[in-house]
Amino acid sequence: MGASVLDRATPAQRLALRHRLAAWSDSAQKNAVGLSEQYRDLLGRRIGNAQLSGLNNIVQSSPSMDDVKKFVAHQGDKAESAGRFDVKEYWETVGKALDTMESAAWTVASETGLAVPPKGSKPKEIKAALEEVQLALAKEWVQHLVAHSLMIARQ
Amino acid sequence: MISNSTQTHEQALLRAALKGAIARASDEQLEQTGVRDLAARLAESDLDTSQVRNLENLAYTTDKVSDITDLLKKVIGRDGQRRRWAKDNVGQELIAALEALRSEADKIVKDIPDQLRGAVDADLPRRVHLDLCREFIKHLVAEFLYKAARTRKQER
Repeated sequence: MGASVLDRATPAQRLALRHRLAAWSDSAQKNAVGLSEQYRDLLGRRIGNAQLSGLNNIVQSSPSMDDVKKFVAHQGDKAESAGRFDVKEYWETVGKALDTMESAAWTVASETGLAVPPKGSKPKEIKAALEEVQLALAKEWVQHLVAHSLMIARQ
Repeated sequence: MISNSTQTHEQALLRAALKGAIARASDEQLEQTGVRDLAARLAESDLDTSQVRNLENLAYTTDKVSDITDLLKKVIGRDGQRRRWAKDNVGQELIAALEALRSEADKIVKDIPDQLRGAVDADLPRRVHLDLCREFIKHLVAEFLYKAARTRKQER
């Protein structure tokens, strides 16, 4: 297993990363809100608060992006088995959004001056280096998604 | 080449300029935004002081505007009986008011004098927006506490 970019980060780089994550989070809220609005009709009806809270719980507590992706894929599979193809599509869209966070993590880490693996490195090496940053981004994005979804489910 | 001391001096001047601009904007918020109306409507709801204080505490400890709006969205979502944050859409109007402060933040940054431009970074409008949100919430909480106290006094 390779090293995370945070293992060798200086205190100044960790602080810079925190600031960069805050800026990324505020800018990513629009995307999460857009996804919630796209599936507005399903929220509170075919996609319950328990499922959304489950997603939030797993992303906030898991040390691995794989667990988060497995949860999302499992929700999609359950929806498909039940013949709820619109719900399956929702979870697929959430999964695709979470996939984009690998490249976002690379950008955020490199802009912060962390020693990111060069593009074209082995996927295992990239994952080990950036998973912590990717999870931090996923936590922010999912919080925006769940908060907006809870609000519009109430309407 | 710009020396470190010149940069530090420029940053200090920028901080002072921003502090003044944010203070002016804060005073204008009381007259030019709906903060008093929002506070009055919240005071007429079943909200208690601790719930409003939670919002204020978060605003002063977070480094993200989205944390503030996410908290409001969650409490609106939890207000099934529409007696608190969801009453007559007051919570959603508060979110809209906070989001609208971004244009004021952009204006403040745009108006920074040319000689201080070297100290401006791309994230500055977002941080000014957060400061304006804190000011707005500070007014909201003060007005809420005043109005809620008066309402309780009248009910006795």
